[in-house]
Amino acid sequence: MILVAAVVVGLIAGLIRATITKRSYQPHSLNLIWVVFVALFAQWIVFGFLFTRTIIPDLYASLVLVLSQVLLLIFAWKNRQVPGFWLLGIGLLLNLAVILLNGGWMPISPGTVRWLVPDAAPDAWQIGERLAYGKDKVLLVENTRLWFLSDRLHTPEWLFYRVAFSVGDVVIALGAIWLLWSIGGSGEPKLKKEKIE
Amino acid sequence: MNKIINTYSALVGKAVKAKAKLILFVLVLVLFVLGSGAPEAGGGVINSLPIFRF
Repeated sequence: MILVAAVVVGLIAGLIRATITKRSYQPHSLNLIWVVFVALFAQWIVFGFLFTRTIIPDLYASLVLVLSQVLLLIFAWKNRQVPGFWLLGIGLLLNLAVILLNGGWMPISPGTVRWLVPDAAPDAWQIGERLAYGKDKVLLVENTRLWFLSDRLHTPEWLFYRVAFSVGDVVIALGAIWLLWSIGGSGEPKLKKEKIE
Repeated sequence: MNKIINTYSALVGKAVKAKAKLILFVLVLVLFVLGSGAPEAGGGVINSLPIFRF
């Protein structure tokens, strides 16, 4: 949800910028958008849809996670000329790197899991196992490759909403905000548009 | 992307073309960030629903 929040923040900031600079808010044309839909549909089948995610073996689930992120990386590369997309690609690459080096799952430490779900039953999760039906795998810090890129960051204690995220997620969030902000300053001036009409 | 927008515009009229393009753009961006990140451990939309809690 922090990434969706970043999109909302970026969109609001971009619209305000467009209003102040009196420009139209015209998004860039993107290439290969079908790739995003394919990647997300695959992830939804494996991680989201109740009737399929419970029967798909972990091996296939991790394979789908990696392949779908490779597809998204191709999408980011194809659109690298759009402002902010290189940052989106770097964030994705950071996440993909730590996932690939840890058996196809995003590592999360036992301490972070305990912080996330302090009231979870003792047998709800185990070290070395996948966390519920998500993208994470519980690993000890000393057994995690590139642990600094794992889901080791979390929302502040005072916030009611508990969620863990990675450095890659932060970079992706910044890329999304940058992209949406840049659109606010790239459209045609509204006065010029009115004259043409 | 333009093909989708043009098809949609042909159906509903050119007046909504710009809005349709913006909505599709934001939708693609939201899907991209959700697919790229791994932020849903414990606190995401899916896991926040009681039925999915572990």
